[in-house]
Amino acid sequence: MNFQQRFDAIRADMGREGLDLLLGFHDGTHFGGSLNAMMMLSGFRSMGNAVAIVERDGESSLMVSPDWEAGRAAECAPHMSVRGVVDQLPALKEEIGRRGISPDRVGVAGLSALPWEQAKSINALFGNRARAADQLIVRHSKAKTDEEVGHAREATVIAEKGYARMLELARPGVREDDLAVELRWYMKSLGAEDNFLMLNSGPHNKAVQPCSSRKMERGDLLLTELSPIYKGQMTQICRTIVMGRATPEQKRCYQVLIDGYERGEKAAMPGVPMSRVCDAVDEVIDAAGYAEYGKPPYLRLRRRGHGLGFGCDLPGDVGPDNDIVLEKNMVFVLHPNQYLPETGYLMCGEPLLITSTGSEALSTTKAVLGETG
Amino acid sequence: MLNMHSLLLVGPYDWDETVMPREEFDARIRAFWSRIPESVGSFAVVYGDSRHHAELTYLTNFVPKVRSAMAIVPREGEPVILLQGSRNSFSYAERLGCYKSLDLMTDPARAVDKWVADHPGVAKRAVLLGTAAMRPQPYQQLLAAFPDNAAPLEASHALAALMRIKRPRELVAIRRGCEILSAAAGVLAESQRSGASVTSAVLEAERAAHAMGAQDVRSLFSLDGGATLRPFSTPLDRKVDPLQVSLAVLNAGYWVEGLIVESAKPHPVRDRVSEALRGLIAQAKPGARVRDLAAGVASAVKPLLPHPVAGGAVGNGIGMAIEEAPRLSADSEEILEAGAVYTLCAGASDGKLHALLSAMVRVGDSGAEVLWSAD
Repeated sequence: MNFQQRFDAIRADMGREGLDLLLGFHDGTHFGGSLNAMMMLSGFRSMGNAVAIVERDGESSLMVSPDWEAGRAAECAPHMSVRGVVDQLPALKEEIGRRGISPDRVGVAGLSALPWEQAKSINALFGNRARAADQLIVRHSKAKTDEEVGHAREATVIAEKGYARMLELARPGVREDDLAVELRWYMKSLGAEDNFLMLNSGPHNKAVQPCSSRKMERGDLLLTELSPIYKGQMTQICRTIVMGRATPEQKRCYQVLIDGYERGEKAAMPGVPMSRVCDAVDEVIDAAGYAEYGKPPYLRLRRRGHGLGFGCDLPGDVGPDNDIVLEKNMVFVLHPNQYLPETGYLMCGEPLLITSTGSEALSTTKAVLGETG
Repeated sequence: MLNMHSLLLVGPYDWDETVMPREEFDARIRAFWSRIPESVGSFAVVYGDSRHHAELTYLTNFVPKVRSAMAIVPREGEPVILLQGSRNSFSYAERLGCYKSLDLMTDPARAVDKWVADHPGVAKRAVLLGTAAMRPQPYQQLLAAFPDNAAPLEASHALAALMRIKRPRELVAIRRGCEILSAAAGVLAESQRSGASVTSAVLEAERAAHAMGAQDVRSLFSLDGGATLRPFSTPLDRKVDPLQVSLAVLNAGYWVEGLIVESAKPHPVRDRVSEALRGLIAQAKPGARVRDLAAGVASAVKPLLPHPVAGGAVGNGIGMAIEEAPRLSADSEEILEAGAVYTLCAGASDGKLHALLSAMVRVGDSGAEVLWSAD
């Protein structure tokens, strides 16, 4: 599947759902994890307000603010006519009026990711009669296009290079902040337009967190999620580094997570519900005697990974209640990260691509317990 | 200037009491409450996220590095920071704010109710701060804490008036930010002269700013001779001349911004814009009408066209947000205020050559003190 095929499929569904017009909104505030309806329809990552306007049988267009973003938007959305506007709402009102479409036949997506007052104004534009259409986009976005898979591969190459750099730089006395800034910059120089970079250290961590001013010390465990975004596609690798040499106990505990990961990877294949992948990981870790540490309060969410993307993070969490059935070209990170009483929190994880027969780790080197020597 | 923000903030955001001691935040909170009658509010519910957190940071130093957070800031007593997620992740958050009381927030209304229940002497009269940036669902959840789901007073305008006049410690942070900006602009120029590609030059400037302690650096650059700006998306081999860049540097919670044009060739549009910027700075005095300033720039660059990115504006207030009020637009009724810090910009285009230049100024009693200038 390519982007145009996905776009055409969404358009075809508009007819089935009685929609003549589909509007996908975003305001340029990027948190990740929530649907970016505008980006899924256009391929454009905006800095400000933008709306993708898709007619069932007619033209598709993209309206962006500030108006000088129009040129960049046009490069990203060659299938759309692009218009730069100073103020989105009056321009949208004019566009809608020109079309004369009944509000009942308008679908709106992405409102939940907008500031509340903006969402309210957009709903009011249609007399609160437009229909929520997020799912129309989501159901066609859970599997990646071939281009997105390519970008996920490239993002993973960057993540692995970032980890190699991290092993060079992580030393006792270095501040977490300084390490994170340097890694972020390094991965940006390799092509990462953004990065969800978690990194923290301690002798007995309870969880992975954003970096702080803490200076790393000998004997610490340094945790990281390296999640660069390349051309709109996020990846993630999870790693643990011992500041010094790993103890036999640390190696044993880490192997439990590795074994859980391997079992999960084997379970990940087309036709299998995501919950089965989670169960496969849990079986290994529970059998090793750590069942109670795989749930709250030790593990905030009972999950062993999550979907990867940027505009849409389906197939969702690698959780026991996620019944979504895996399909070819779905991409998610499988990470049996968790707290173990002997060591504290440990992390290992790879991005997985569902293939036609099974799954493929996008990383070329899988997690091992790192050491700084 | 609007730019691209990161999903997760990395950099030195932890509270540094040598830079902003607790007494500074206590004084800000007192000053805020002095503007709100007791009958209107006994506590403030403050929202912030990784993009919009000026109000939250101004009162607590807390920056939500990822997603969002809230604070309850009472008229009397210690503020509490409310965090999503798990208590297992509190250790980094404890370092961010100057107030160390943290609590878990599963639902905004429940968090407010719990706080009120824990403070039986405090009347349930809230004002809201920063909530314009909230998403619909959490905002509705928050309103459930109040009678009839009615929104309390949004008092951000009252806080904004305070934030506009920079206090001495804020000015120290801004001046240091300008030093970093100056150094980064120097690296950009040097990279350009040495033949670096456009993205290499920008990345080197960002790295230089980080090396000097910047919390964040956000750059935009032009690939069309300065007509428009764009964020980094992928490394480019292209060298460009002229190189139009916007560099925004965050230091100790305060943004400074610079619009820069580097060129080895004669650039008559830049020269004209540079002259217009000097004129703009000279006019920047307390009480100066914003519309007069905008008209002055338009007149100074004639017969050149207005720059498409500037949109007729000649800058804006700047501080804990990159774009603080007021926007200095041609139709503004605002005046410049003594004690405020602005980013002033002039731009023009002849259709082929384009230039945007800016300066950071503090308006003093008798005129503008230039904190940094591209001129």
